[in-house]
Amino acid sequence: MSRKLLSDILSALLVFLFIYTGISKLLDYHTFRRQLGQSPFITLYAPFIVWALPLGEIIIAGLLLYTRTRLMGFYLSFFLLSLFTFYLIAMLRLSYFIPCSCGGVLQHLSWNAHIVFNIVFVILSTIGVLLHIKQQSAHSAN
Amino acid sequence: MKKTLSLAFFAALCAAGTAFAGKLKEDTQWLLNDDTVVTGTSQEVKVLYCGGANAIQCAVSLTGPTTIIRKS
Repeated sequence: MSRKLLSDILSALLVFLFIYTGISKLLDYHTFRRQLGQSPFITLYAPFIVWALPLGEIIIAGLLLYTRTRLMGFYLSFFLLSLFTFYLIAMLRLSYFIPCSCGGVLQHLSWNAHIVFNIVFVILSTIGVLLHIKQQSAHSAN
Repeated sequence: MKKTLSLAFFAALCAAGTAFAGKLKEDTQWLLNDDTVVTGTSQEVKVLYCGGANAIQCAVSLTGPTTIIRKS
């Protein structure tokens, strides 16, 4: 499999994830807002996050669509997914009450399954970044 | 460029379609008096969460104006 095709597949997977979860959160706005409001760590920022998170996901998906902006999209995916994974781990370890604020079918996953799911996508983002950097250096060498 | 766009755009279209389809298929969500959100038909919610003799409001539909009254 060529690096280019692999990069395309990785970006398509991330685009699917971000568009699906972003739109699901916006469609379930009231539930998502209530769930964020119940979260012990981010209650204060809930009114901001309730819009910023789904819009951020859709923007990252938009960056992943185009070759020029794809590296930035992979970096932001890595950042967002890592942040969410740390948040989940912190919630599991430090909080007594754990509301699920996940989009769509992901709210049916157990917390541990959700962490594994996130880690898989963090790894995919990392591979995407590395592939893209290699591609760019190969282009500049030519 | 074209091939890249088509694959990623296809993924985006599928994701958007799946999200909208999931929303349409979803059961109604209900907000109970203790602020928990449950899903199901009104009958299921009435039976499962609104038992008791007081005729006070037990749950509110999050997707419409319907309310459930406790059994009297």
